[in-house]
Amino acid sequence: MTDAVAIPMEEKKKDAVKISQSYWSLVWWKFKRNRLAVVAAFILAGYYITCLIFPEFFAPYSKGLESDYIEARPTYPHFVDAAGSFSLRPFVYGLDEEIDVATRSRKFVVNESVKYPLYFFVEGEPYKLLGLIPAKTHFFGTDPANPDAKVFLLGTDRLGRDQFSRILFGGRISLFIGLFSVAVFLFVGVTLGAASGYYGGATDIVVMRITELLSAFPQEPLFLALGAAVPVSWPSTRVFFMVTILLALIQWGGLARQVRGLVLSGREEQYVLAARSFGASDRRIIFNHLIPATMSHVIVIATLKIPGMILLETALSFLGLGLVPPTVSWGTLLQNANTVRSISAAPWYLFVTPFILFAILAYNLLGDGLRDAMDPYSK
Amino acid sequence: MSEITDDVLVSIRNLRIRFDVRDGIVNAVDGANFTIRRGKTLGVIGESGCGKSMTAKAIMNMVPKPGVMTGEVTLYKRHVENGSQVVEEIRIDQLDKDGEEIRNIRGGVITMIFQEPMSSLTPVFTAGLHIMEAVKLHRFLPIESIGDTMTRNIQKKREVSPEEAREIAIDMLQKVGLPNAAQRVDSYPHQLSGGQRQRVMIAIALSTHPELLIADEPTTALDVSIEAQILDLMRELQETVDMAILFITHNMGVIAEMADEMVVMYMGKEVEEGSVVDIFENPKHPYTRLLLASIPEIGEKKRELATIKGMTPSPFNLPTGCVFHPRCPDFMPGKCDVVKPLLATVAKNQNARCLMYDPCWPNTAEAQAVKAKA
Amino acid sequence: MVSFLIRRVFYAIIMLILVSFISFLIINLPAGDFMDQKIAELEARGDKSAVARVEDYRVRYGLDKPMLTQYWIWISNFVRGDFGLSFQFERPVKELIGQRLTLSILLSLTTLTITWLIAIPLGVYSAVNQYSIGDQVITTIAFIGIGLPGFLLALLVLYVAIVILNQDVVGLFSREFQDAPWSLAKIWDLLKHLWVPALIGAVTGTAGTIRIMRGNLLDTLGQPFIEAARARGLKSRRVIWKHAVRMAITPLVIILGTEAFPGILAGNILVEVVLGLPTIGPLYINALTTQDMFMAGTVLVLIVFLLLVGNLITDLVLAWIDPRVRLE
Repeated sequence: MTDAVAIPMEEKKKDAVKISQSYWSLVWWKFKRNRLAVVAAFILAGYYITCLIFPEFFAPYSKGLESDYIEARPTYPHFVDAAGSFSLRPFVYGLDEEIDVATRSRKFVVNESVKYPLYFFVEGEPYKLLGLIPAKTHFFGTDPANPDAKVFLLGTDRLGRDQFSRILFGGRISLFIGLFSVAVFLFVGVTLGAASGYYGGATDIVVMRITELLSAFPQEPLFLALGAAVPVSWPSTRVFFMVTILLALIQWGGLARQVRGLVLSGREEQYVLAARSFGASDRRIIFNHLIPATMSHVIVIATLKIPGMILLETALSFLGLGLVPPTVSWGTLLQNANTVRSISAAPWYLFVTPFILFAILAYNLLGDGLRDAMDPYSK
Repeated sequence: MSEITDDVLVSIRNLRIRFDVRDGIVNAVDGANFTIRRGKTLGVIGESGCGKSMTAKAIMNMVPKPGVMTGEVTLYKRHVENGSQVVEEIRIDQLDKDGEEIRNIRGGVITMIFQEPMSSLTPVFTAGLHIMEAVKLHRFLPIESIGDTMTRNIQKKREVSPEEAREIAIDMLQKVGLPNAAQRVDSYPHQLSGGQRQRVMIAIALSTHPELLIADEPTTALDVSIEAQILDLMRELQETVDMAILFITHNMGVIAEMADEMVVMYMGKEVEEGSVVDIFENPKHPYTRLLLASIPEIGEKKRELATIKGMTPSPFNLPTGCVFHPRCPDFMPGKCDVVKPLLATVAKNQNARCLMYDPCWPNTAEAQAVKAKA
Repeated sequence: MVSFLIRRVFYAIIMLILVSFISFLIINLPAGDFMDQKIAELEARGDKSAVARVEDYRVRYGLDKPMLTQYWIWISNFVRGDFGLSFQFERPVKELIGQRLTLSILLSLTTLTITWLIAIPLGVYSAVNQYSIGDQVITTIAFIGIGLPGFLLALLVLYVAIVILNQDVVGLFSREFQDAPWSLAKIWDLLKHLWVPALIGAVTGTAGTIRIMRGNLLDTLGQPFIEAARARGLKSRRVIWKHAVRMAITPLVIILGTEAFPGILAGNILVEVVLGLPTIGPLYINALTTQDMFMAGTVLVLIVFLLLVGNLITDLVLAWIDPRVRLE
């Protein structure tokens, strides 16, 4: 009655490969079914292409280009003009300077008699694509032959610089900080966590005491104090790297604890015991067996951590304790809006908030989708 | 199985429970019919996932969402009215799931003990509080008024007071053999062992004087020695209080020890039913035979224990014809994989669902044609 | 229990010493001290007596001595309740914090109350009616709320209030009550202002609490003891609130101790700064930007102190509500 047939070793190996492949294909399959997460992934791809990789191309102006239009209101693109005639080519109206008698301030008003058509792939300020390839083409802009024609989609700042362009360039720094600090965070957290869990003993005690000390500090106030301690006199790149590293250093404790826990339970797993009995080295066991076992967990943590990093940088710079102009980041751009006066006089400074919010939301959606997809036993 | 007689407590007719889940429809219970008799023990046996526990939940009208229950579950509840005994027929499946009527039955007329004594007690409440909670809801004391015997007949009742509830709790814990009941009543679940917790569960279940106790694999999670103690306890208690037991298990030995009648279930259907003695003497369905053959017996060394080949099929992708045919040693090609057998009487007081027996063939032209052809 | 408590207090004291030292180091990191700047400024103005006064501070707080000595002078004064002097305002730190403490506590309590009043019922509803339309709406809103940072929200609220509604939402008092003595009218005016920052501050917390409550309750509702309670004939409502919520509330107690408690001083620094509230958050930021070391150091250490006390209280409360913790 028993039907025990010995399965040849080769078959078993094939099965094992099938199973391990099917985990990631299952993840992919589950992820694809989560529409919101897929949309979020596309939105983020859009952010990274326009802001991180090619802002020079997508922005009509460079981040530093000043103009006579001081705190000018946004010029929105139109298809139908004041007279009611339609044109397929979008255009913007010109701006006229006006003195407000009541407040004795200058402001710009839309002049509906002047129309500047918008063109795609226009020649403009020269730049280097990816810092290497010289180019002049911008994604959109006004007629390069007409020096009066300007397009300020989201208004200008106190030096007459185009807000839209600056937001794209600011995104480069902010998004990069998110990625870079999470990379440092992962490296420190996973390495120390894995070492602590695997070796135990003194390593474990030291690492765990440090994480306890870190967790005794409230994160936000500590980060602000550390940010304030970064010397103002430092060059901007150094400040940038310092802020990035600080972001990672105050947060790695939680990750290290989680990885340690996973490694501790993984250390007793049969396959690790087997690997050790074959004489595999510690390094090999840690890197080939224990860390991969924690991967899915770590990927989810990393994805959900990025928006927090971006926000902390934004907050720090907004308060004037982190990056400072002339570095352009979403935080320094938001600094323009830190007084009631500027919000009432030039509310377009706030246009940077939706850019931040959408990036944050997209990251949260993506992280959530990944978490659901990576957990094979959920729903 | 048979018509409704005086001793029927619960009758289940055509019970179906289906779950509409994303990957398809699962029939957890697929047309179950059986009867629970007063004071008797009915054993239900089957592999995990065969719908035993779901049937138990249906009797309490506690089928979890998104399950949908159809069929009839009728409770014949006895009570005294104007001095004479009346049997009230209650269709449990038609009651509001959180209504007063079903809540009075749950925990009062029908009580239940579960497989996991470890997690069936709320961790933040003491053993006593659990019993008191049930007692307060379901036990009523007659109001005694001196010199007026009329009130007793009308059965005026009042709720128990907290002090009385506590006394009942201690008393019950003593009855289930918990040492130091007076102190144990204030113990939290984590302070009790698995066997002690199951005793507490039994104390809760019996504290309200139920007519039916549903025991859903009550000893599966316990050590064998503790299992024997708990089974003994249940039998003793059944003798002192007149109570029926629905005993759900996957262990044939436990059925032999506990039950008067038994139902064998496979993939949501009962495949055989009858008295325990008859079935153990003379099992009709191949599945029952295999189950019996897989019990080791003392003194037999040579015989190889029987195993049932294969695994239970996926509930989303049930075999055609008889659902047991891919695993059946007596599989008849051309018949079993085509025709769904009916449950029919195959011996005195014994029903089975297998095409080896003539009455099990459905009386349709197609089925009879298959039968004739082969 | 007593030995457990003693051990925890001992541990907390060690932590506090370490943390205060690290805080002191961080606050002192910026090159050059505040005094040099201040003296230069005063000398330029020709204020001789002020210069002498500042020199006096320097000696009194040992700012010319090595770091360890400085720390020792500071911390021993700190323990006695003397938090040092704010060099920027030339007033004791204790006085400045004291002025704002009441409003900080009031704000954090209001925020917490709003958070729990909204979050617990919604979280319970969401879990009990899993996958219903109501649940989906609640989880979606909670999801967006979690990603909505309070200070950006505060900026948007400012925009709506200033540009669209032309309303004054900055601060906690109208101008006429700013320096007025306390009166019923002033309290009413405070309440009119208070709800804005409290609501903004509650958004993120509410969203998070809803998610935690829903997740925990779903876990708990799947436990066998819930089914067992139902099988005893209890009403659904009683099963949910008495058996399930009672179990699922534990993490909220942890949050109360570890976030809400230190939150009295630093609940939502950024929102407070954006809305210009007379609370401790903006004081801290101001001290950091002007390198007002005793001010910043005191606030940081006090926050850590509250966090440690909060942890201690959490442990006690957990032991009280969950008998399983008591044994350990």
